[in-house]
This record gives sequence, C-alpha cells and structure tokens, in this order.
Amino acid sequence: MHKLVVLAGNPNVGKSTLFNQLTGSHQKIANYPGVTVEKHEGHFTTDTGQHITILDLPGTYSLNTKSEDETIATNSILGSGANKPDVVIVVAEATKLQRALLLALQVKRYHSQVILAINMMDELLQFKMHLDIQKLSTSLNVPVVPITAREGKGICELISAIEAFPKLNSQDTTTRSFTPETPNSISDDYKSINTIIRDVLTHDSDLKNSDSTDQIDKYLLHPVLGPVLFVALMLVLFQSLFTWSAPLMDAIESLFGLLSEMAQTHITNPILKSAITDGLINGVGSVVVFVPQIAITFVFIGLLEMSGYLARGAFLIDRFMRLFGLEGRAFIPLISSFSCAIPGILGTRTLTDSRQRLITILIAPLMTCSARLPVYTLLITCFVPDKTLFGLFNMQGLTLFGLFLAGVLAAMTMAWVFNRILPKSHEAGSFLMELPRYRRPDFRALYKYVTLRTSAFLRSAGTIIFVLSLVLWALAYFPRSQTITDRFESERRAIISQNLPDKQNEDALALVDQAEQGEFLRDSYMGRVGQLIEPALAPMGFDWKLGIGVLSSFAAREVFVSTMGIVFNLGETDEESETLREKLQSQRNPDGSQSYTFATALSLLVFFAFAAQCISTLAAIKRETNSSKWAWIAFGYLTVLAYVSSTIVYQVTSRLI
Amino acid sequence: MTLLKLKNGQMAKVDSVSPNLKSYERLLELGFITGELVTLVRRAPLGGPLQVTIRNTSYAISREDARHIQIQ
Repeated sequence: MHKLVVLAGNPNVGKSTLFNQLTGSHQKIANYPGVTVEKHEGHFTTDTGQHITILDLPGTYSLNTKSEDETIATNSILGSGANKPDVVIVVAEATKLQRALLLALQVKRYHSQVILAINMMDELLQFKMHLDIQKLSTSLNVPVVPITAREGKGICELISAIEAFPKLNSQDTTTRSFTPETPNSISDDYKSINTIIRDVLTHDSDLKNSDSTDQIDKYLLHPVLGPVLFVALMLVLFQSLFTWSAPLMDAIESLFGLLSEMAQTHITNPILKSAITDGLINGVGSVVVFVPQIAITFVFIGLLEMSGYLARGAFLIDRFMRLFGLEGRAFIPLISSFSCAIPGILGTRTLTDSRQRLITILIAPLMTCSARLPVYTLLITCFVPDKTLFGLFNMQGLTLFGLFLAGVLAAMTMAWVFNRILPKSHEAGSFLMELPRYRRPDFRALYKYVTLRTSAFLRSAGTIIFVLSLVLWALAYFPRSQTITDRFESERRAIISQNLPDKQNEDALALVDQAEQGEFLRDSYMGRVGQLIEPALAPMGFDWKLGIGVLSSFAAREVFVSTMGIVFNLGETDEESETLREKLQSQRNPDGSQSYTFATALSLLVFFAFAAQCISTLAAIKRETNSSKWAWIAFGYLTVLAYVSSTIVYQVTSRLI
Repeated sequence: MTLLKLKNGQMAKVDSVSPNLKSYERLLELGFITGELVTLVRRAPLGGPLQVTIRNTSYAISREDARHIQIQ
C-alpha cells in the first residue's frame, strides 16, 4: 500500500528533524514549479509494508495564503485528486501549543485524517509544565502523539498512527473548497484553543521556569555588548573561513594537478590531451577548489540558524540594513558572499520575504569574493607603487581595501535601485520574525544539511561548468593553424641543429614552446574575438590581449592570471610570477608609450570587482530563483555596471595621472 | 496606548491591532488577540525592531507595527 503524508506546522518546530528521522537518506530537494520554495520529498517503508511518501512542507502559521510558503503548504495540504495527502501531520512545539493549534483547527476543517505530533516534549519538563495528551486528543478529536524528534522518541508511535489511517480513495476527495480564514474566525479559534488549553496544560508552579534563553539574551542582545559580540563573531567566522579552507583548497589543487599530470602522460592525442587537461581538468578544477569554502560557509550558516543565534544577529543589524532597503536577515548571506557568493545566495533561504530574498540574491555577487583575490594581487603588485602615504597607509593595501569597499558600496546602491524598480510584492507583512529558543544544534542534521546542499550545488553547477569549460577551451585552442605549427617546428629544428649543451638546449626549446603557445592563443577564435572587440574595450583602456584574459575569465575569475601568462608567452604562471609582472609592465605601444599603465590596472580591477565572471554563481542564482530570467538579469546588470565603471575609471585616471 | 510606548520589560494586555496594518492578519495568527498578555522585552539599538513575548514565544516586530498595536 502506498500513502502520501505531509508534514505541516509552524516554522522552527522541528519538522525537518522529524522528516530526517523518518526518511534517513531517502530524501531529495527540488523546487516547486514556478516558485522559489523548496520541495522536500522523502519516503520510507513501515514494518507492516506500507510505503509512505512524505513531504516536508514550509513552516506556516495558518492556511491563509499570504506568502509563497503558505500557498505551497496550503495547496499541498488540501491537495487535488491524486495529490491529496492521505494523512496530514501537524507538528507542534510543546511549549508553544496554542499557536500550533490554530493551524491544526484550520486543517481539520479541510482534512479528515490529521495527526497532531507534539515535538520537544523534553522542554515541557524544563518549563515545569504538564500536558494531558489523552484529554487533548479527546477535545480535538485527533490522535495526538508526543515526540522528541531529535532523540527519535515517539517515532514508532507516530508511524503506527500513520498506518492506522486508511488510504483515502479518490472518491473521497470531497474537499470543501478553501475559504480564507477571517480575523473573526481566527479570534474564535483562539477562544476555543484557550478553553482547550486551560483544561489540558498545567503549570506546576505559578512562576514559569524558563530555560537559559532569556539569560543568554541579556548578553547577546545587550544594547552595547550585543553588537560588539556580533561583530566579533562575524570577524572570527570570516577569519576561520579563510584559514580553515586553505589546506583543503591546497589539497584539491594538488589533486587536480596530479590528474593533469596523469592525463599529460597517458593521453597521446594532442587535441584530446589539451581538451582534457587545459579544458576539463582546469575548468572543473577551478570550481571544485572552492568546495571547501562553500561547505564551511554552509556549516556556519547552519550552526547559526540551528542554535537560534541567526535571528538575534538579524535583530541587531536590522536597522542598519534598512538604510539600504534590506532586512536584518540579509546580513549573514551577504557576509558569507565575501568568501564565495554561492553559499551566500543559497543561504538566503532564511529570508521569508521573497522580494527581499531576490534583491539579496542579485547583489550578492558584488561582494568581493576570494576568486577575485589572485587577479587583484597580480594587478596591484604590478601597477600600484609599493609606497606609503603619510607614513601610515600602504598604497597597495589601500587599493585592496578600496576594492572591497567598492563592492560593498555597489551592493548597497544596487539594493536601493532594485527596491525602487522591482514590483512591490503582494505578500503581506513588514518585518516579523520569531526569536526561537537557544538550542544545541543537531549535528547529524547539520551534516545532512551541508552535504545535501553542497552535492546539489556540485551537480547543477558541475554540468554547466563541464560544458562551458570545453566550449571555452575549444575557442582558445582552435584553429591550430598549420602555418604556425610549421614555423615553430622549423625554429625548433634550428635550435637542435646548433647542438647546444643540454641545459641551454632545454631552455631554448622551452622558450619556443611558450612562444608557440602564445601564438596559438592569439590566433585562436577567442583571440580573434578579442581583437574584434578591441574597439569596444578601448574606452576601458584594454587592448585585445587583455580582452582575451577578460573573456576567458567569464567562466571563473582566476583563469585570468593563467591566460595572461599564456598570452605573453610565459606558459604556466600564477599571480606571484615576477616574469608576468615584468612582461605586463614592459609592454609598449607602437609609439613607445607604456601599454599598460596605472589607469589600465585600476580600470581592470574595477571591471573584475563588478563583472559577473562566475558561471557557478549565475547557476546558483538560477537555482535559487527557479528561473533563468534572474540569472540573465544579474549577468546583464553586472556587465553593464562593470563596463561603465571601468570606462569612467580609466578615462578619469588616465587624464589625471 | 500603543505597544511602542511600553517600557522595556513591561507587560500589558492586547486590546486590538489596527486592521490597516500590513501585518494585521499575521499578528492575529500569532495570537495578538484581545486580552492576551504581551511583554515588551527590549528595543534593538538605534531605532531597530522590538522584541516582544506573547504566549511564551519571542518575536521581533517593527516599530511601525508596535505603533499600531493598542494595549490596555
């Protein structure tokens, strides 16, 4: 027998913990079509052989559809035809029963097979409260099952209750069509609830013993100490993000380096060899290397949310965020974007207002992410003098800081702009957020949360990166003109015929190889495109060589450095390369003037600060907004912003200096 | 008198919520109905939201909303 069960209930009551307990690893996340709400679906089989499909619905307070979450939840509860659930489980938090009962009473009007699962029963003891389950069940006329999902208590009884309900036959779909609850009906419901509760819930003493939440809040929400601790925590988060991910990132780089070597030695066909090493392994590797940062960011976001601190942080910073038209909950996702926009974007789940969420998602890429740092390092060390202004500020450091600031300012400006131009949402409510009790995070759930999300990202971004890496590789590889090959082959023969000592011979041949690589790249389709668009690049101060670098870095920013290395006949380089710096500085125009000046560098830096050069980020935007439209819009506005800013910076700087 | 005028830590009974408030329905659903006890726990620094407790649950609500919740 196959049954469909849905888990309904208020937010923060532990529905997901229960869902995890029931489904184990048999769960998946998708999106409901057309909206940004996640669909959590799983399944399990009972001891008596019933196959249960279970949906973890978004947390809601009532059946009224004021938001996307509520619409999805209510539609799932009411169902239509075959989609009508056989059983609706309303999950409640034991110490906040009345609020849950509102939803329960509403659900009961539309569905005949409801179970009330009361979670976190352990907290009743803490609060010296006592609940008469039997009486409650009788008053409500539904089975009531006490559970402590985190510890797996009461799960068996819950499953038995599910089994006890028969499967609804399709004729049974005589659902009353949904009529929205009115303020009067809500009031009346609460009156009934008060009567019921008075009867079943008792306190052992007059003074309610609270848990440590209020005590902790005296410090964490203290008017002075609160913000201080918050800032301190953010700094620690930030710092550990970079230091902890570094060894892992190095390990991954080494791994991919190894793969590259293996491919080099074992693949003979030159085209295939290049496609796999330069194209796939490089391309995919440059994205996979960020997985540690992405995973660690998820860990932090997960810990903050599960412990209950996230809401406090949002509470403290809300006023500040309002200055840019954002809400407090947007802070953590945006801060996370400083390491990598992807977990930041995926972390906007905590925002319930979909308009706010969209704006936050759209501005997240402007936060200076780690992938920009290699490019910044190269250009700053190359073109910004290592001087100290007023004996205090190092110009290079100042430039770096300025770039960070530029990203933040651009984000705040765009938030303001989007607030003006995006259609106002029809969703009801201004800022309203529950501050849940502080709880020890459920580490098993955290592990599941992080692995599920990181693997989902790898899957969706992975396919795009895979394809794009190959496409970009092909553009930079082909055509391998025979004329060029011949020319360099004869150069090689010339060197060999000189019969130089081994070391000199090696060096000379290496130089020929590098020159050949450079020539191939300049002659490639991408190189030709670079030369074609040079007029468009000129206002920004770029020539076609820089153009190649910029174009190739649209897949992943760090590719810029290695591409520049190849363009200038240097073969393998990184941002620390002295030779690359020298090459850039020594480039001369036909009239003898320096090709790349301080103005060029600044313009390039600004371009990289704003441009949407990360397919993975665009993929994340597409996934989170459940549409390609917003990913394209993000790409569009960022490109325009980058182009315009870069042009202005170049034009102004080149005249001043 | 409105909820906004309460001092930190003060408790009062809800009288009514202004129906033109965007959050009107939501506040009702959370239990801001006539006669219910509500405590203003604290204000966020620098004009930020308010922390209120109702039915054993804490919420952050905007000052704007608090200005439209009448208390007895």
